Amino acid sequence: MFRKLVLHSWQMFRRSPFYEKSMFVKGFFAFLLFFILTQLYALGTILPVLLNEHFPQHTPGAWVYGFLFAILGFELLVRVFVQKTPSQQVRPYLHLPIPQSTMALNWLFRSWLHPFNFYMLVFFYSFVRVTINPETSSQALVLVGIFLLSALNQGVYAFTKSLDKGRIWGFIPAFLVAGMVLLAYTLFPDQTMELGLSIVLGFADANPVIFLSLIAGVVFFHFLAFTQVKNSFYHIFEQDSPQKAGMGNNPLEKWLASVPVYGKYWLLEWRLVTRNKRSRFNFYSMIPMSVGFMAVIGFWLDAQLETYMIIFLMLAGSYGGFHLQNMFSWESHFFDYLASRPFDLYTFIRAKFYFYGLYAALQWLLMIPLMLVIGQDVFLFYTGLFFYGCGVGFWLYMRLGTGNSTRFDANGKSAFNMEGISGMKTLMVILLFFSVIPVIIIAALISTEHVWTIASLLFIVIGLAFIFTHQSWIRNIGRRFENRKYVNLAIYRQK
Amino acid sequence: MQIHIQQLKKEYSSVPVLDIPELQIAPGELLGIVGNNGAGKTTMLRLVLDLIMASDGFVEIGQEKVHESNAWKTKTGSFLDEGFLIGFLTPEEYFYFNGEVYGLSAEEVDERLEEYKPLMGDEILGTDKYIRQLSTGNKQKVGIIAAMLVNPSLLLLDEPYNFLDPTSQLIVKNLLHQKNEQRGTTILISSHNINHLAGLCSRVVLLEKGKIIKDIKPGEKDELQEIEEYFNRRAQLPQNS
Repeated sequence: MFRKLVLHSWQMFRRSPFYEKSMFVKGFFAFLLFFILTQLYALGTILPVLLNEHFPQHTPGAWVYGFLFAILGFELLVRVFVQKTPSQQVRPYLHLPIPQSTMALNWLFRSWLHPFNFYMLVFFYSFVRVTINPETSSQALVLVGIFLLSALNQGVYAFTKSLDKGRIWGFIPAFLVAGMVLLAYTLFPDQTMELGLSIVLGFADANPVIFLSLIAGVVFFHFLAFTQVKNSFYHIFEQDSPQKAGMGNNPLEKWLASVPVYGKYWLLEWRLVTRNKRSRFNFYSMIPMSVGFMAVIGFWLDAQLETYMIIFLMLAGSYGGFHLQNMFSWESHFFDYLASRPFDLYTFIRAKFYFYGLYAALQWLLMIPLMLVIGQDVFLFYTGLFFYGCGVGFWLYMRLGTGNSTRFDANGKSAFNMEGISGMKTLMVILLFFSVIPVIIIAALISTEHVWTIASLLFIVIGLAFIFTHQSWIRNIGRRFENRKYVNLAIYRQK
Repeated sequence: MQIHIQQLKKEYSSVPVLDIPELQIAPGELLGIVGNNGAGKTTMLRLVLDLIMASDGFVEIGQEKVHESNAWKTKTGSFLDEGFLIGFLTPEEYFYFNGEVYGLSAEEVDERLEEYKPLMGDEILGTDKYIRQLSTGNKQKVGIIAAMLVNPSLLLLDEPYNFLDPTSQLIVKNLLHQKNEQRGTTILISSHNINHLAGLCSRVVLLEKGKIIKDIKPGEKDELQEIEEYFNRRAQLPQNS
């Protein structure tokens, strides 16, 4: 039976809805995968050179292997929050007479197929080749050792998830491990780094104690997960159970609803973004993340403004830039309802524009004090991009969004969720990034000395022009959507 | 297959959603579970299938407590919702896999599928579609057929008539009757609609807010009328003054 379930894992992968996407999207993702793998491989080759140049007090191997526990601790935390459990994949089998132990094994097996278990090997494959001498030590054994460390993380992750019942307590094992690592590097930095290095050297010298200890650790955590996970199967169906609804009529919602003309649309938008998993996280985290990122750039990174051009542009468009890429897909599950009601499409689009514009403005206002402390050039540049993002960016997203007829579940998880990815969406983002180039060229033609000041002013002028003329282009967008309505709605209905 | 429910309770965040002090379902009984939305019908079926953990009490199928053993699953067929389907398999693959799990060969599955051809029409087998690409009604049929295909001693179906066209509803009703009469299958089906259960079930329980408020045993036909009256009373609109 286990073999049959393994076959199902393969069939699930091979028959994934992803393969039903257009050639463009498939090609794009194939390229993206290739790009990430080559970047990881290249990083493993380049990092020793960079470390030698900037931090010559230790060898590159001593640095990276010394920080091995930190790398693994960080990787574990990322896993726990990002790596998906295969619980929904085992759901259809739970009512069948398949032994629970087989199901638990199947759960573990499927969780093993995650890319998290393999990507580190790509980096270390090239890094080990540069830092471990093949004549005196075994590079292959170091890679095996690294793989076992990753497997240990997978074991802790699996155990953590097997405890997770939707409460924070389920994360305790991972937090404990990460906390211990942090504590070790804080209290005993030299000894901890030395230990990391000696473990890798132990791998290279085929030290049986290290290998056997690691294997024992891997087996131990997987065994714990195996014994625990059967209980977590109950949780799979309990997720469907009635839960307390969102916030209801709180003062903010009451205020939104009271706004003339746009109130009902804003209330719908607010509830859409705050009551769905896919939108909620980004909606709440975008402002603190943006402020934090600006602080990191301003205080810690010594680089030119233009280095962060693309990131600034994304931040300036703020949450609206993320949300409007999927214009109408958010409503795809209930667009038939909207379309069959006395619902004014033009007011609806305008309400969206104002809603996300106000959100971006709030973010900009909160960033002003920080930007002024960092430097007036940063303030001017970001302000330019804020107006450009809310004018040109929103126009572009909304204009092309009328052809974005992908359906997705707003309440689906956002991490690694491919639903809604389309060639059109990718095109929108690329177009926006490239659209700033002519502006910068014009600024350079005007004055080579003050390129970024002029470019910032041009961004403000162009952005404001789009913002002031929004009534006109939103009418056009509404007409475009009306023309495509039947095509789009037919796709929204497809499950 | 006899089912025994004892002191069964389920709570979510300390809010009780099901509380059944005791319920005995005799072998060969065809039990209908009726109730409004949120009455606890699906929760009860999930607890019987050990898919969610009871806050208190237990369910026994035969002599086994469902949370202590898995042996009862070999005699049980069930379909509660789309989560029971494996979307990336074709219906044929799903039926074969389902058969294999219950120890049936592919030939036996083919043979048994003949019985269900009137229900499937020509939209399920040989269409070269994955289950996820089928319409909701056809998915429902696939789930019901997979549950019945293994000739279980105990069959559990949650709202089996949902999404089905009138002909399919009648076919399912006839199939349930046939399984119960000819094979002595114990059947638990839930429904919002008492008309679906009338003339089919040998016993009907009425759930309201997680509690059984009526248990109509065989021979008490007038009681069905009483249930209808109960729902009629609940459906009374306030009078405009």
